[in-house]
Amino acid sequence: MSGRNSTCRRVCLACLIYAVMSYPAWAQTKLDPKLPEYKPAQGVSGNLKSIGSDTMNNEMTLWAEGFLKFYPNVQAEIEGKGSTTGPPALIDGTAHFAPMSRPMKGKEIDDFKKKHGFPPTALPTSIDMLAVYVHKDNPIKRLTMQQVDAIFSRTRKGGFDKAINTWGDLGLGGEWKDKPIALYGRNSASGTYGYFREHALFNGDFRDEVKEQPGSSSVVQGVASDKYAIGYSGIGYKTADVRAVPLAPDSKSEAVPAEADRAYAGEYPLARMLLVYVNRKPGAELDPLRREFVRYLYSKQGQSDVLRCGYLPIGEVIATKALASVGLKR
Amino acid sequence: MNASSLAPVTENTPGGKSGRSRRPRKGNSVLAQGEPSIWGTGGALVVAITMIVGLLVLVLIQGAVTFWPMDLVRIRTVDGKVYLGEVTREETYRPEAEVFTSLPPRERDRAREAVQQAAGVARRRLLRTGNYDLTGFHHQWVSDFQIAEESKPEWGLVVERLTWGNFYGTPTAFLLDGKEVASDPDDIWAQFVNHHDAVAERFSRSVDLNRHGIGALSRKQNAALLARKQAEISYGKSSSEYAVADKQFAEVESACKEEDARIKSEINTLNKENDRFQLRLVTADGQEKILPLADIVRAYPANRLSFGDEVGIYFSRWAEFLTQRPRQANTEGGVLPAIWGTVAMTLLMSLVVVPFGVLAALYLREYAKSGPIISVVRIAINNLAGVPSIVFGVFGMGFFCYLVGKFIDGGPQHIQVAPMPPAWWWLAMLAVVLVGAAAFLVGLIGARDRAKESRFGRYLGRFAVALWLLSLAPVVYVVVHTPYFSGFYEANLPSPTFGTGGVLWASLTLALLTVPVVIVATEESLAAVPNSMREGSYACGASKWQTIRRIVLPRALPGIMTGMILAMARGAGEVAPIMLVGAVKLAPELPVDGVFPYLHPSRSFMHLGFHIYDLGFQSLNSEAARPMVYTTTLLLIGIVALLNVMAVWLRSRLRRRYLVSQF
Amino acid sequence: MTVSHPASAALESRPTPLLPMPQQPANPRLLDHPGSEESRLEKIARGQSAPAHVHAEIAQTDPVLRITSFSLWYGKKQALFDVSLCIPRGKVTALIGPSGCGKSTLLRSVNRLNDLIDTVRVRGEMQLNDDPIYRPSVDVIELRKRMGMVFQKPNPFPMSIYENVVYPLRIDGERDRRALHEVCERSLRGAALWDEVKDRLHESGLALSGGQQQRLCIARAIAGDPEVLLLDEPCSALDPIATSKIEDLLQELKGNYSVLIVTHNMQQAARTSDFTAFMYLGHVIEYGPTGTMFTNPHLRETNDYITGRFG
Ligand SMILES: Nc1ncnc2c1ncn2[C@@H]1O[C@H](COP(=O)(O)OP(=O)(O)OP(=O)(O)O)[C@@H](O)[C@H]1O
Ligand SMILES: [Mg+2]
Repeated sequence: MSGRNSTCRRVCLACLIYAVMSYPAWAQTKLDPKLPEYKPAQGVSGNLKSIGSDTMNNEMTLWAEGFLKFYPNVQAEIEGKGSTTGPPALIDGTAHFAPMSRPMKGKEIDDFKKKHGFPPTALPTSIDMLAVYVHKDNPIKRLTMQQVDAIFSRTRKGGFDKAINTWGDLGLGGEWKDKPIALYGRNSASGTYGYFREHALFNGDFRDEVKEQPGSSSVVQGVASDKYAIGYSGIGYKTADVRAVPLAPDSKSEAVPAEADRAYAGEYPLARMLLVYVNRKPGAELDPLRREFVRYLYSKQGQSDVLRCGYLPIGEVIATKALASVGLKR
Repeated sequence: MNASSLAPVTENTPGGKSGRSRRPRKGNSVLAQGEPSIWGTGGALVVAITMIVGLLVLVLIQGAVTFWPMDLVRIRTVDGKVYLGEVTREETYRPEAEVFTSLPPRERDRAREAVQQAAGVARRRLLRTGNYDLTGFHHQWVSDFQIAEESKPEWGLVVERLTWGNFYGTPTAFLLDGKEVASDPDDIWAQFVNHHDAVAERFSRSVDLNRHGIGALSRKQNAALLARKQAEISYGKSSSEYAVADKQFAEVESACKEEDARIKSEINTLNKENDRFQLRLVTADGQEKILPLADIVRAYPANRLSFGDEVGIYFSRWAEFLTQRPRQANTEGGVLPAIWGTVAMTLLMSLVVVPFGVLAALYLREYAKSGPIISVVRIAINNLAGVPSIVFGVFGMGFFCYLVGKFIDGGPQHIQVAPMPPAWWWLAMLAVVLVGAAAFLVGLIGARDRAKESRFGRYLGRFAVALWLLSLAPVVYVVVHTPYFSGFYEANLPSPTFGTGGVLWASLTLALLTVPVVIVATEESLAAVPNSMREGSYACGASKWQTIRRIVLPRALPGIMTGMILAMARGAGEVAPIMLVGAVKLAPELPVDGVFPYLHPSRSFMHLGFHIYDLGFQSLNSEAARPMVYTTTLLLIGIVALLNVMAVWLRSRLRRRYLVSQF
Repeated sequence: MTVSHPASAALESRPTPLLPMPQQPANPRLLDHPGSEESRLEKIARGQSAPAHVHAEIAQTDPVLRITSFSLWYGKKQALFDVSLCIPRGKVTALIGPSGCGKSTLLRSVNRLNDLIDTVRVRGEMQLNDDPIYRPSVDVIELRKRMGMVFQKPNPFPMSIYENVVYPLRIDGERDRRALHEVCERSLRGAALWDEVKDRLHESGLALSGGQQQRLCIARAIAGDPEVLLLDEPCSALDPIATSKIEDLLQELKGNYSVLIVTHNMQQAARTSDFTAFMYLGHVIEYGPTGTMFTNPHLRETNDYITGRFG
């Protein structure tokens, strides 16, 4: 399990590195000009169903909206109740696409293989920065990953020496000194939950006090309405009422703000690939509907949709590679 | 002992003139007076009413003001940033000491002093600054002490775009074919007003062409493709049927290709024409942006509007909200699909739930002899009404979607049931038919005998019912194991058609959820039909069914309608179960539309309740979505109220027909 | 339905002959001499049986409805005891007696409305024009169509006046509009309501006044051309004018219809009926021509009741 997981991680890491290579740091959140313009094909119709990540729910919806402009009688149905709901739907064939904010787990891949005889194909589509949000008035300057672990987890596998319960424990003074930290997080069905647990909690366990929210946006809203709160959610959901705290990998390093170039540079510790899984028999051709949707994802239009929902688009190199993985040339 | 103890008591009786011992009155007991209970009950009522009214007023106000156009404010902060936007909220707060350190040194003391004078409290306003494509944020908080200069620019323009959300800026040029034809704001605005309607008209024509023209083509092509696939499944690739289907497909494809090219060129011309018109704007911080007119839904100079203009914009926004499809992951545009989805689902549900509920109630109240079984059934029904709705959702998903739906899609194999060998199946079929026929015959004889009030007839009737029940399970078994059915949508597999959530399954699930409401209401109204009416009918020689149909049902109709109203109100507002059986975030195709067969029961649908949930908890831009939450809530309340008013109106009409005062 | 109640054996009284055989006393006044014998009413109240006193005139009439030794139980409670009556054809017969003595029960037994009550058990027989009423082979629906019934409280149906009247024909499946209209007019005229409602036949029947409603019910009852008309205190809810209208109506109906009417109003019974039966606690006490019953009753108990000394 861990072996397979680490392959997944390696894939993602590779993708991130590609992203870095294909992007000069100054490009920020601009589109890669080398991405192709989308040209509609003929005879695409049918029902396009996507079930999976909540983080990518809006992204999927934007893609579908954009795709539907080209194919108005395609029926797109988007469901996003958490990454965990994706694999079963893909295995069952109830969904054509399973957007996931984390790579599939070994067991999920095994289940898929058992039914279909080959593994599902993961398409890296965009990059998210998982941000740790605090209320806009919160003066906290930075957090180390070990501190984040000590805030959210009861196991403290990150190695911080004591549990952090109040803002005073993080060095804030004044009225903040003995205010307890209110914790907001996602429900366990979400990929964000899994990813945060793996990378910020070092595979530890969440505290029981974490208020598990049904959606990424509700985490942000929870933090916005609670002055002493902290929570984690995708960068796409940031509002003016919250602030993303710069994160440092450890106490000696510099804290990295949740900004695009830092993610492309591979410095932001909680940057992750947002994936879309498809069911494709190796060597087989995708049906027109799915083929065109995948092509749309990796077009200028598709990646500009990524920008519109606040995530980071990928570059042409990853796009070409991803298209090749489902047998498509750009 | 007895006497001695009695004597002093008599003596000590208070005011003992009469010598009679009276129970001392607790005249000042609070409970003995009526007022506390009046205050208590009245107070409870007032609290309840206040809560309801408060809720409604909140939703009403918040929902109603959302679309009112607001003034544009341009703010330059002391650290040199410039923002242009609408003020959406304001609040006061106590700034931390660090807040001031970020200000330039000269302003720092001034700001600190100002805040100190206000007892440490500062005001800040949330500006909706838009321009997300340029800045990466939608909103910005600005505290009063940060402001160096504030103004309301005359030509500040609010531009609502198809993509990327609002744009705020001042116009610098109107471009025709890339050439500047106007550069004075007045002229630019005149040009915009002049051309925008035509552009919007062309745009909607091209969307229509795309949707209906190209849509119909691909539908045709898809049908041919499916037919070919079906032929392949049924007869094999080398069969003549496949060859025919293949030929047909090729024909359709080539025909469509021509038509497709024609429509596309038409769309292209429209778009080309539209591309000629562009608007150049400059943002508050000096960036230039060229917007094609086709991308602009609506634009207005916010600070130059007369009251009439504001009203116009307000209503045009409402119109857009009610008649357009959503944009920008549901945060903008309209909610037409959600309205349709909600209404279609509710009506479909009523269509199912009313007949079933009424028949069940009729049986319970008119036919069934009261006994322990009936009591248990009644209790069960009443408890059904109290089951958490999500349970119904789970049931609906498991039973309707994954069992019935998959069976419809792909036959027995698709639900992991091995079909019976044909010989066995026919044998089982024969047995079922025989039992069914026997039940029918016995029932018939029994009915004839029962008319003569013989006890034998009643036994026969029970026997027939038992036989019916006995044949029911085998019927299901035989149907499920049929070797001759491999699904109506086999060619479409593995894509599910009915084997997933859809408006039909959602309606059935909600029907299940609301059937107790209808049963209880109907039973009550049946019970309220005076027995004297029934007796009068029987005395005229009417049979039971005639009495029910002609006397009892018409008289109970208003009550049945009440049940239906309650069921509809409950059904339309229920969100949890339908999330599992067909409500989705985006389903721009309506469950009811102008394409044959008009009602598409297998389609997923959007629902206002779910839309509210989605806006509230999953929205990209929760700040912008919040007012939409209220507006959508207002709309949902409005629709439920409208459905109710319709039903109430119908009911009162019926009432007037049947229930004029007794004397 | 002819099922003996388990308790019936114990309660069974002396068998009565199939045809009531009036016992003719030489001097009826002496039959119940004060103090000479214990009162019949007291005997009945104690649960013993007392034979009905039926006048000789009854035997000379042509009965349309014959009730023979009829007993009825509501569950364990017996409400009718061995009732035997012959209702003459073309005449008005009144049933009088104190409240709760079983008049309505008897009336409802005639068209088997009591079948609707689960707990009811009966014994004995009735015949309508020599056709049995309580036999397993009898079609109750057909039977009820041969009788018309008017209830104590007006019970028009929730439909138009017209539909109310033609209801008995509607349930028979009559579609011919001319025939329906003819019956409607005839019945409404028969019930002395035609002139009042002829312009609003299609308004709700519930929009009429109480007396009009009751006459509407009478019109409905005679629309099916019944062999017997059963009236259960038809005037109890009406004012004197409506009452007198209905009484006039009874006089008109007499001859064409055989009427069995329950009433608490002695004057009404005296005015409208040809024969009167006096009932007490489920027993028929005395039955004879109305004239005799009210001016010269054979039994002292009857006299007491009529003069209002009890009941
Ligand atoms: N449905 C019933 N169930 C049980 N007992 C009943 C029922 N209907 C009537 N009874 C009883 O039968 C007896 C006769 O009742 P019935 O209605 O025939 O009296 P009545 O002579 O019509 O009285 P009134 O003049 O008050 O109408 C009464 O003691 C009554 O309590
Ligand atoms: Mg009575």
